Amino acid sequence: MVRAIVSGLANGGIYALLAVGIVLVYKGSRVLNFAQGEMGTFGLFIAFWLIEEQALPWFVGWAGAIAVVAMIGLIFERVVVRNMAGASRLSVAVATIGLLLFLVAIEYKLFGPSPRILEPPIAGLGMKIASFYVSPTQVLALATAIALGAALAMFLKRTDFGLGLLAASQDTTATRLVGLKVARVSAFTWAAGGAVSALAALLIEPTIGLFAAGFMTALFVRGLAGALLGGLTSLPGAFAGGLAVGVIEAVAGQRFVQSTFPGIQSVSVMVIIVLVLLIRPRGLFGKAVTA
Amino acid sequence: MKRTGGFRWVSVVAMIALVGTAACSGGPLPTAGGTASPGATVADLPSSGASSSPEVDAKTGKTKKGPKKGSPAGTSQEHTTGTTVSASGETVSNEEQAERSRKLAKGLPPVNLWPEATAQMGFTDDKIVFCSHAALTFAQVFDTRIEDLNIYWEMVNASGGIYGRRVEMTYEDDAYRPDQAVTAAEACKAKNPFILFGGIGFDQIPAVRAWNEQSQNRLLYIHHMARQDLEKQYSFSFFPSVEQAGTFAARWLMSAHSGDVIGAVWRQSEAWEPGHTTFKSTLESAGLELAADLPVQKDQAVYTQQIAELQSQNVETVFLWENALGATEFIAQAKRQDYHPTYVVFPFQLETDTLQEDSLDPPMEGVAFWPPYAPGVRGGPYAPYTDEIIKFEAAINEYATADEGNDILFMTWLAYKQMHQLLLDCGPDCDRNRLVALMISGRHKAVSPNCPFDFTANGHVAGLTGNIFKAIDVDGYGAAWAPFKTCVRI
Amino acid sequence: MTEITGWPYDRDFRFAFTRRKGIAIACLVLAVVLPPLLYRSGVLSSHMALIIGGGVCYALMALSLNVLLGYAGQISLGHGAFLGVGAFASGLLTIKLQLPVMLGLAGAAVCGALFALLLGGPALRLRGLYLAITTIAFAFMMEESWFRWGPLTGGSAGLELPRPRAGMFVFFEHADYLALLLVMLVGFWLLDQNITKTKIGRAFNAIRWDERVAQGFGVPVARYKILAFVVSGALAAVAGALYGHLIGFVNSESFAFKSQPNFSLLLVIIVAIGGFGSRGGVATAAVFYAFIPQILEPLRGWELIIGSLLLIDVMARHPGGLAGAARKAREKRGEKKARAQVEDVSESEVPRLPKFPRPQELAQRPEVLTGTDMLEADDIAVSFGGLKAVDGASLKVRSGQIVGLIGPNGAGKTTLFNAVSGFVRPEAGSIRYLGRELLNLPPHARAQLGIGRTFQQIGLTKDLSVRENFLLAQHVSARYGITRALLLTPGAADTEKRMNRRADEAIEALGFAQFTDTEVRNLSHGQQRLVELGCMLVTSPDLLLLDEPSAGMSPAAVENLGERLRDIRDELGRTVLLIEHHIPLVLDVCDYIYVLNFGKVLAHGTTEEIGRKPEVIGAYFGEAVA
Repeated sequence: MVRAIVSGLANGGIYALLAVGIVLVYKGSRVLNFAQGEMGTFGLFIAFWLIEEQALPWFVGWAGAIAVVAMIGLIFERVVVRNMAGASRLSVAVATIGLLLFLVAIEYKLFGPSPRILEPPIAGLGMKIASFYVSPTQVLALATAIALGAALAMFLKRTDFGLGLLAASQDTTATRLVGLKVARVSAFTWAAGGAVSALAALLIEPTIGLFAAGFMTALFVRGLAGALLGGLTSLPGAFAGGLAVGVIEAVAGQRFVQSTFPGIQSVSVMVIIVLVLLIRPRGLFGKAVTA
Repeated sequence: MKRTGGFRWVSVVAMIALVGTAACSGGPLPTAGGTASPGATVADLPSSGASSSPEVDAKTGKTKKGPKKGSPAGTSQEHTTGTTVSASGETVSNEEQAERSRKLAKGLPPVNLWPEATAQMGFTDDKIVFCSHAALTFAQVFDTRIEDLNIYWEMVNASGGIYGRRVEMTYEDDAYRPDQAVTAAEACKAKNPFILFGGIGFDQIPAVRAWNEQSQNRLLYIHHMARQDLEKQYSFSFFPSVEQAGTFAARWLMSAHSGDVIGAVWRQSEAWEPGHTTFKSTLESAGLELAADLPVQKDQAVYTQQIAELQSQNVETVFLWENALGATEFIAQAKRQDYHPTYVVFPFQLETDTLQEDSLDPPMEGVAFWPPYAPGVRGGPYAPYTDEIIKFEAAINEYATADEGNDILFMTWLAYKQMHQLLLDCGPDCDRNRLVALMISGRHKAVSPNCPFDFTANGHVAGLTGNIFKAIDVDGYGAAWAPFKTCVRI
Repeated sequence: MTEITGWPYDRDFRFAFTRRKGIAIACLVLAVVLPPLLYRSGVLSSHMALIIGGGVCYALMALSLNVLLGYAGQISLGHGAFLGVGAFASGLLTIKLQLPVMLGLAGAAVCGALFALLLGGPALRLRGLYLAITTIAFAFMMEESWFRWGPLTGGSAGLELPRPRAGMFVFFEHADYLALLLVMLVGFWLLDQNITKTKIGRAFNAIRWDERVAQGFGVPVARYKILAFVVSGALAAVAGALYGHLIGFVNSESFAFKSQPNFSLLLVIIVAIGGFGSRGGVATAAVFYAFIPQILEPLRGWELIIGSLLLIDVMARHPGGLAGAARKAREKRGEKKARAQVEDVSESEVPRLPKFPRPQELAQRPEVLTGTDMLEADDIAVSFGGLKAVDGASLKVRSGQIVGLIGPNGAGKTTLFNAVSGFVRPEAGSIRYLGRELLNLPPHARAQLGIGRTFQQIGLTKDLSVRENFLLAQHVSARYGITRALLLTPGAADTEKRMNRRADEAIEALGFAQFTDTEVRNLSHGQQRLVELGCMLVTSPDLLLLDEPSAGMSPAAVENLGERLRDIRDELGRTVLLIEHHIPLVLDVCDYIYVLNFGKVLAHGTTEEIGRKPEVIGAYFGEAVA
């Protein structure tokens, strides 16, 4: 049981990272980005190309991946989101589904369906806690999720730009009054969201072992569950929610490891989602919002 | 060097066609059992199905999809003069081949699956039409190109075809989906093929098989591995069944790892489960218990809890009954938990290429029905069929768009080689009934380096032998599967 | 008003119905005859029949999602689950119970409807994004668990679905089965038409546009949302089953979210490309999406790339998909006139409002005696997250009067309106209408009692035509059941006919005849106001809650508006509660005035009394009092 919880926390760290990215974009533009996971997969392909095929050092590959995905976020914001200022937020979410499908399809076309493996920069077994090895990248994912969550929360609360960003998500006129260009806030959100997505994918890949087109779709759903559990608008909530999803999934997985009824582990995640939405749509930490 | 990017692979059962069995060194081809008088003409032979009354195909007569030509192929001079390159590589005169086929044809069991009018559909004066459904787009992790799959037939056609007939092999995209596979098979059918080939995936075969068995003008469908209970009249697999694979794996574990604590991790899916069931029952009948017996799901991706369970039960040998992607992820994740059991898997190049040194600690083992292949690697344990590897790689260079071969293409190559021999054995006036008769009579034998196979035991599923692979470290290549035991009886 | 004789609409309408029947019968005959004939004459290959059959199935699936997403505006990102439910249900019934395929399809419809009920429950509580997520979660639960549960579905080994048979005849040939599929398509089409031609479709549209608008017209939103899910789920299940019987196989991964392509999202793409809510566009897009990659080899593998880009484009630029393109082409050809007229129309004055007799369907509503207290609201308190919007306000509205409600922005006027019409639930207080406590009644029920309501942002479904809005407004008088509507029984058709006539009369009386088929959003704001007023009056509510009717009207029209409001009171005999910022208008028409600030009633009295206290008005409106 303890081991299941530890492993759940280790996996939960990567869900938390995804959840933080989802919440960041949601806070900044009130859009749920369904492509939040898959943008990261695209980054993995970029990193793989730079590191394995161009033989560049790993940090160049990582930087390249993060930059490219941030750019995808920027372009999507510029071409699509900005043109949808007056549209319902659900319409924008549906547009991100278009982005998700586009990315998966283009990954197949450009890189083929073969799975690849990207060696983590820090190898080794990592820490042994309750007879479970928490790998260096899992620790890093956890640390990044905490650091990013905290840094972003600070940034949003303490800086003018951050406050403006929060205001923008609620009311575009208010932001204009604050003197910020809404467009700049939105662009920042999407670029940062893209960067977080790439970082998350880079940190998640070693835990799974390999990646292929569509790699992040299933993981995204877990990140989304974490974000919802934490309340979509709360960065610390997203972090805690991600961890909670990891633990619940691990405990359910351990409890039913011999069960031949299929999919109990993923059903447990879905049940979390539905229950949260039905019982407490604002999540554990979120503010009441109208979707 | 990481080799995971450039090549293609297939999830477990995936491969294009059919025939290949394992890398046994392949003795001389056994001669046919029957004796025909040397002077007998084709007409004298008891040609099994062609003249009989239709049993199952009463409806077929009313459609217009009969053979396009008027007279049965094969009786004209051109098919018995000249030479051809046989499957095993020698240049043989067509007359000699035809003679051999006549001997084989004597006393074949009667097969009446197709009425005379359609028995030779797709088998014309100048060509033999084949069609295959294959994953050309959107395969989950499978990527093949027509040019690469077809190198064997390119070679056959370049050296004169089969009894002077060109082989015309086309492919229809099944996108790795059952519904698309049925559409692809229907597109194949529109080409009136002599044989419909198929495979690439546990999901597509049953769909196409059901379609073929239900539709009118049923085709001869030769497919990749499937469940035994799926056997049907018009569908044949040159591979052992899923069930036999499970039995085979269990027998191997009992002989090589009898003292170990054994666990099983298996894909919970009806396509895979029969293999797990026979695996378990075979062990149990020998009084062995599984210390852990853990189902996993398609695309599960995270195997933390299963690994923990195996560790806590101190499992030393794991039967990992998953596709190459799932198996690779599982093993990679287990290594990160400092867990190093011996794995017995369905072996594919992807696994060793991806896992590299992780596949050697301890060496993974595989149960398979084809010989292992790694690009550019020859000699050593591969020595018994290095000739074949050289021939294959030469054809890759000559005909393929791919830079190098891979295990899937090699498997396909050997499958087509087996098919080539089957057609030679069937004779210059081959028809589908005789082809089936030849297969199920047990007279047609495997051609090197395929292992012997036989339909007599299971009717629609061939293959009584399997291979054991072991991962080794190859100088200048890295980890690769190598043949360890070949043509072991299941 | 008495029945207008010689009204030509009656005949046209009947003719339209017969013509529709004729077209339907012709389509059915073609569907049955054409594919088998073409196949047997060698024109249509078996392969092509299968491909077209696949396209028709895609169209059926997309039409099912269109009902939910296009009409009712409820998004489902997990429609693949319904397809799977249908295919497995039909498979189990036809294989395990050996039932004929037709019963299998019926079973599929029932199962699809039941699962939709299951999903529709949450849909009542969730909107937009949250609903979308719930549908995905539902799809995942189905495909990763139940669909893979071997003992039930055969899991990945799946079920081999048989082809239907009729007597000795089996629909083995794809062309024969294609005929059946086309018949089903005609069936779906007619059902879909019945939805759009009756109150169901209008209610769906209103819900999509704004649930409050729907409720304001008396549409029980919850029930109609569930209905949308149930109809869509049942249709999707039938479509999934038909596809299963076409392919002859269904397994756990057939409709899975992670399969490529993923049916759930593919259908969203198709509905978007076809044009949300456009039957023809959606069906066309579906057939092409399935068909073109099959016959144009170079396009294979590109369909998803192109499709996803089109989806993004449709969402970002609102070109309206195929349907939008077709509309633009039509407009180019010669419907520019109608638009030009919209721009030309003068907005100088408000026309006389139509005088409607109470619809006979609503005859049981009691007559309101003049001079009684119609509406009594006592100590209403409403707060939003700590902010008290209405804080113990009370008011009475006497029948036959125009009562004004004034106060500065944020005083709580609209919130009080919302409390009366049921859009917000007060924490305290009571609201009685004709002596009946309203608090526990949902908004649509209050509308049905005879409380009409206009909105600041115009309570109309703006992407429907003027006539359709007038029909929507008569929702409460469309007293036919859902089943009758779906089948468009003669009784329902008759009611519709009456409603149409009434709508046309009202539009005529309002002077909007030339805009009958114009979408409301193409009208000017002032015109929209008038249509809204007209729509409200067409159902003859006894009490009208008007929220800033003068907003957006030209000064000349505002002047004239007062006269019309008096008409409503004096000629139509209605009672009005009026929120208005235009103080001269208030002082001009109102019999009694309430002044609201900080959620409390600051003062109330007759117009003279309030008018005599310029300090009351001046404190808040100062310069407005001229």
